[in-house]
Amino acid sequence: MAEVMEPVLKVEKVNKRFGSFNALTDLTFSVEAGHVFGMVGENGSGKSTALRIVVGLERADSGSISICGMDASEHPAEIYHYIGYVPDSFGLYENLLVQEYMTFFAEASGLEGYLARRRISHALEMVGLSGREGLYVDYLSSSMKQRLCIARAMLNYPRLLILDDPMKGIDLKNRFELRDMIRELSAQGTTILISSHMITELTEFCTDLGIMAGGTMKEQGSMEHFLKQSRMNRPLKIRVSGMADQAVGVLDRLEPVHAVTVDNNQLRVIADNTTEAETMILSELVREGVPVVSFLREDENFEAFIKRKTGGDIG
Amino acid sequence: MNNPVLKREVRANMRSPKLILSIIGFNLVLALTGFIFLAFFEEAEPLERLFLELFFREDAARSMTASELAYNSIRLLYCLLILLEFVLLFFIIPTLTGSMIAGEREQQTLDLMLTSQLSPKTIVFGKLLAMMKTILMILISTLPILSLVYVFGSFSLFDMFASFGVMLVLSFFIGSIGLLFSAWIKRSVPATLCTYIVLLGMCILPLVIARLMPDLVGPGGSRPASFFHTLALLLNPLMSIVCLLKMRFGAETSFVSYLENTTNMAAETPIVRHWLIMSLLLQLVVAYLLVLLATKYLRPQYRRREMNSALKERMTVDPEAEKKKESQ
Repeated sequence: MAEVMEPVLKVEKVNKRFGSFNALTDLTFSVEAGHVFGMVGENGSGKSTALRIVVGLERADSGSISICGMDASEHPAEIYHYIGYVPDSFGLYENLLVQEYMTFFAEASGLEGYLARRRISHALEMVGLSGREGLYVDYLSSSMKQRLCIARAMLNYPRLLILDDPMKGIDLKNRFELRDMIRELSAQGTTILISSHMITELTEFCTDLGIMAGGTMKEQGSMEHFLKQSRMNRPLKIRVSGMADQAVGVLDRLEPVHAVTVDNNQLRVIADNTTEAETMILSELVREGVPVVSFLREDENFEAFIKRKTGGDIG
Repeated sequence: MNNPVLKREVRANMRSPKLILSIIGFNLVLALTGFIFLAFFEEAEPLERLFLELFFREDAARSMTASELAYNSIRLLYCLLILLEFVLLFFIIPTLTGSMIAGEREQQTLDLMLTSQLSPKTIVFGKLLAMMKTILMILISTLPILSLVYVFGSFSLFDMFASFGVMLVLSFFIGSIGLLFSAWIKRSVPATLCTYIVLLGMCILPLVIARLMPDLVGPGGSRPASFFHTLALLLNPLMSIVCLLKMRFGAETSFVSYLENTTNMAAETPIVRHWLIMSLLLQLVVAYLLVLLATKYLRPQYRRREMNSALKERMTVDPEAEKKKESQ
């Protein structure tokens, strides 16, 4: 019998209340080994709270969290060997040199001497900060500070790297660099859980996506699944030169059509995304004598699709 | 001591101009006080007698000859400097400790430490020891000024070390209160203010209560003072300093009579006879408990436990395996 791989992170029915506010309600999701799991959701949907609970900085009211097969509440000290955490703020000691900052966290991770030095130089090399060891942290640019934070989190070679909105406040060029870095880490076998508002960027390196809304995981699946769904759900834009009301009547009768809206002579049709459905719709309209001027799929991007799914504004 | 937090704090403190400014300021205040005392105070004989009466045996100063008065003035100067040192520490330590944990929270670096292998105990003790190291440096820097009174005699090295030791214990105690508030209250400024309020309350309230409500603490000499009032006085850092000064530089029995008069406590109890030692020991124990309590505020979710042996093994990585992993 084939061995079933245990997910690196398994969150089950986690609930969290802040006073009368339900921050998380029955939050359930899992992250498979080697995957890059992107968490998206509008502000206040509970992404950061969920991540803080996973790393043990907040107490869950109920539910269970297992990291690398270990129950986090049963093995509280041990889980910190397996996770690296980068919060949404930098969290830096600006009066220390880069080398001193890294040495402090290496020692805090139980690394000493040769091992610590090797890990520090490897982590800095990985994020492109080699040669900056002698600089004060204060003198680094925002993107360098972000990279330093990731280097710090990578010191103990974590099985699970948790990044809370790492792209916040960094420019496009550095965002690309960060994307490449995450891809590289993932290629090396690190499992990554990342929350972000930059949905388009997430599509470039995430293997899985979780959509959060109102403190629950509304939908979770592979990125491929969501991209396919997004392509499938693109509405049809049909322009007619007249008889718009008749056209609506014709479309309402057709099985592949789910919804129709009209704006002057412009029809927006939610229908199955298959060639057969498109052929049927067009031929029925022409047969009924509707003067069709143009017939095409609306160019809705992935971000708009996800926003529609979360039912709110992300970012 | 291999505490990463202590090492980082000491490194950052050494780099900060605050430490050197504190040392200069501290010494400047002591030196100026000594200078003003020697230059002007000795001339004002009635004032001098009054201070001597307050510090030493109440009736002794009145009958002193002029030469005895001059000799005792130097002892008084030393007492004043010690008292001043205490007052300065009283105000400096809460500002140092108030931001120690709350400041890490504000800087959002506490989360990073808590998600590393550091236990809350290591973090809190690292912070406390770093504060003690700063205080030790300040106290050592004041030794040359305090030892100037040696020129005039009447002091032993023991006196100096005794006051030094008492200052260290009191700093540890005051620091632990500051650290507890810093861990409990999320912001530095309120944490510092709360520490001041509690310390002032600890120093003044028991004495005020004893003065205003003598019946509450037990009538003078007839029966022992109430347990809680004795406890409050033992924990009072100001009382410890007064006790040190009176016992080292006044008559042996003067502190006992002072306690009797101020607090209506029975003189024959062992606590009163060994007040300074009892008070310092109690303060050390309470300080340790407060620090342990402070660690509780740093771990909201998981109880920290010792690493199991398998994970300890994981930490001792073979360098060859390490290189192999890095080259992947």
